[in-house]
Amino acid sequence: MQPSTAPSTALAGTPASTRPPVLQIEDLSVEFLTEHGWVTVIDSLSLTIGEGESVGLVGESGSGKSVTSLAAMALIKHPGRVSGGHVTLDGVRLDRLSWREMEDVRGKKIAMIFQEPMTSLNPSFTVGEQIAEVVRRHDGLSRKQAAERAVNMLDTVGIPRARERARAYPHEFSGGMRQRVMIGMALACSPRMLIADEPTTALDVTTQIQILDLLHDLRAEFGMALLFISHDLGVIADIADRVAVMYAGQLVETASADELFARPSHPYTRGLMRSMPRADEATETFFAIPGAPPAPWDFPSGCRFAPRCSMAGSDCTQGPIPLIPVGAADAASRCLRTTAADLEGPHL
Amino acid sequence: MPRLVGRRLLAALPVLFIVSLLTFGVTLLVPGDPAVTLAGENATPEQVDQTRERLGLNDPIYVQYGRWLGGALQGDLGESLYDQRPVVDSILERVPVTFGLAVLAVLFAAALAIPSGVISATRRGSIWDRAITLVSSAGVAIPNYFLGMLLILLFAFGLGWLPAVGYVPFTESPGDWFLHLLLPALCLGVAGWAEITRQIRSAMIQELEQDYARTATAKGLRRRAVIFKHAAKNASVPAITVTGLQVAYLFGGTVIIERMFGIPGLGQFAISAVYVRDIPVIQGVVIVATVVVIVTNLIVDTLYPLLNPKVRPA
Ligand SMILES: Nc1ncnc2c1ncn2[C@@H]1O[C@H](COP(=O)(O)OP(=O)(O)OP(=O)(O)O)[C@@H](O)[C@H]1O
Ligand SMILES: [Mg+2]
Repeated sequence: MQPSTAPSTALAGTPASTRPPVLQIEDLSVEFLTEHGWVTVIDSLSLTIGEGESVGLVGESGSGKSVTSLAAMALIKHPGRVSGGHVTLDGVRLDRLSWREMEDVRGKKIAMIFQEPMTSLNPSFTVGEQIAEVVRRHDGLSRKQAAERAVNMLDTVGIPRARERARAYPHEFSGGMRQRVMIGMALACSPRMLIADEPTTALDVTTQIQILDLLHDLRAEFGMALLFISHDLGVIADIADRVAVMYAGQLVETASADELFARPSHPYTRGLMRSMPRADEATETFFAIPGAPPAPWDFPSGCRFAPRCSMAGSDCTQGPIPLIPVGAADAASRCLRTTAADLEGPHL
Repeated sequence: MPRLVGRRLLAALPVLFIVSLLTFGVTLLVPGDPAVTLAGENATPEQVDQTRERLGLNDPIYVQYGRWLGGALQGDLGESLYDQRPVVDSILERVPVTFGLAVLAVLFAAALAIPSGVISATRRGSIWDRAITLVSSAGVAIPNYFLGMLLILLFAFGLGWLPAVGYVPFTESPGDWFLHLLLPALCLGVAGWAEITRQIRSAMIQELEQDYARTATAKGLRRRAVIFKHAAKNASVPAITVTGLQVAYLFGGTVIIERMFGIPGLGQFAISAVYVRDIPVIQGVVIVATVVVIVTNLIVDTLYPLLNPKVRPA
């Protein structure tokens, strides 16, 4: 079974804009208190995910992907705070919910899989119990029914001898198997929205492929919307209907997956694509975008990518660059140069 | 599990041996001669010498020690030099007294440390946290006897709620037993409470920062479940370790507390024995105290596997 970009849900054929939104992030800003004072780490980020849609969020380490997903779960805590904008889930403004009300939403309507499978499970409880407690909490099942559901979930995520393994502790599982457990836990209450924050980064390549396949199949089965985070465009290509590219706390490009991979607009996106290792190429030349992303307290006032960009001109550093619509519907790019015809193919 | 217990008990034997050697050595350094005291005020040097001979004090040290060790291996800790009662009997009589005091003190310490440690950890930096930190620092710093005096002044003499000194056996009246031990146990437990509070605070802070705690929150679990189920189970291991250590310190503390509150336990027994250089009694009490500490550690060790599946034998 190979992952593919083929539509996997009933709604996948329709454009995102016509689907009822599940998760709307509007103008979200997040800041952290550091030795440099309050530093804005996410800057006016907007992102809408429609029913059953799969959106890939991609960007280098430190671009703000995890912080964005934590904000979507209302899990930003000290020394961080949401300093602007808000998140709406199924029409409900999450910032207007109390902590207790938010507890009813998390795990039930929106669930999350974390980057670190090795540490995200509690070492002192069996995996069965850790899944069962979610359904006891949200679906009010009895202990027995919940334990049964936990076994079913373990089975669903492809853990062999699920009934027996439910009684095992996390340290008795490999990284890949733990991530399966995390997925089972996240899906136990059939949430409408699933956030997967680099669910395969910590795993070896074979296991990565297995987990991606699993997520792919489960999305078809459960029909939930998916925000899939990765710094690897190749992984995103396998799973996303639409892609959002982040750089230094901002969205720099968004487009349908087909559009983005065929005609990447933003120089940063193109750089990311060039640095993807390609199997079909005999030459072992690796491309890397020169330089490193700026620290949040050092974000340039103009285009944040300009210092690393070969196309940058003096106009790029004058002031903040807005997201500019490009070509296809819903596609936009935060670059003054991308609307111009000087764009070449994806590989420059 | 029985294997572990057996191995640990075996490992305890050399410890007991060394402790008994050390005690024996230290009693030799204590000034004074039991034979002089025993023979009485007006004894002639000959009478003193006779007494010394009768007690075997003229034998070489290693013979004296060997004699004691031989008996101890058969459960006979010798007789008191003064009343000639078997040391084992006198100790067994007093063990329940000290045991009751120590258990109460540990219970107070742990029972109070759980809420104070958790509140401190979950409201870090709050006025509660600061108050608890302040009081527990004071609890470690204040000497036992000073605190004891304050408590007696306040609750016994001032308010008249509790007896100042004395002891009533549990078998006679559990209520009176409790009332008489309340102040001494509190006094004895304060330092332990402070230490356990500190341990719980830092362990809980650390556990609540872990990824699994974030997962538990992201699952929508109630905050109290995240704290008291997920974090607490992992924090309980260091908390129990430190509680076990406190039992050892606490045993040392009973010496002063028992004297102060007039409780006829092992500690008081030991002190009076030291005054008159009653070597067999001193030896006996020290050995029994060592055994108590070893057994406590053993209990703590057997608790770990129950709390931490990683050290559970497959
Ligand atoms: N608790 C925190 N305190 C201060 N700064 C933080 C904190 N958490 C995140 N940041 C900052 O926010 C920025 C975004 O971090 P984030 O974890 O979202 O990056 P990421 O895109 O997920 O990277 P990665 O691919 O490494 O996971 C970084 O500059 C990081 O230093
Ligand atoms: Mg991250």
